[in-house]
Amino acid sequence: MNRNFSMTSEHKNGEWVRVQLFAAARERVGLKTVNLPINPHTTTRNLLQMLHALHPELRKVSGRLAVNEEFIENDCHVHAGDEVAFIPPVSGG
Amino acid sequence: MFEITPDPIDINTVLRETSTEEDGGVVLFLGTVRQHTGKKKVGWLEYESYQAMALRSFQKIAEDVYSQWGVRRLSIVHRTGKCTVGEIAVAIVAASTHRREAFEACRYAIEQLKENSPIWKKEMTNSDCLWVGSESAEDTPCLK
Repeated sequence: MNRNFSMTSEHKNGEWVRVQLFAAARERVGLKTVNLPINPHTTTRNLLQMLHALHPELRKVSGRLAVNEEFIENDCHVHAGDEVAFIPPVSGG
Repeated sequence: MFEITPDPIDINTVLRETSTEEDGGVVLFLGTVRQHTGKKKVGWLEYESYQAMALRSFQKIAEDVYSQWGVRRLSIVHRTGKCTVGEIAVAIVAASTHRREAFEACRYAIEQLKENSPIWKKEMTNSDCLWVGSESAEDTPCLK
């Protein structure tokens, strides 16, 4: 895992983001939200790597991230307080 | 009117909230739950949404419609939770001075919603229970 990925207790006073899970992703993981540690260099790509490492069952669900209710087209930095969501392929209507 | 609701959709309310006396063309699109999906018989559908983002996407669709076709008002109402066969899952109303713009706006709105709005449906059929677009029959047991 890359240098930005620290899940150890040393992060307990660090910053975190909460990632919301929906539909197939929520059911596969069995959680509505997952908290992930971040640092000033953490990007959306890193969050996806962490999610897949912590919850390998999520690899079966394709999906993209949304930050603050907008789909992320390119890799971007995330900050504490951002509203992050893992969005499986949509199927409304 | 933009709404995500667990309650049955009342189309008269949506029509009333959307059209005015200035409109000469009002188009209503309804997406309903059909009996069969391929060869499978549908028991019911379960809809889930990321509500805040879905409502925001409805707003964006409406802004596109207003600027592209000059449609006066657009409403989108989508269900969540359990929808049985025959029920309305989504209602879209476009109201405009003339019919052509209203038809085109309504068509655009449903296509955009299906592509981009964070809403998901799970099909409960006689052979399996699948999140449409995310799962296939081989890779999932029936999870409820």
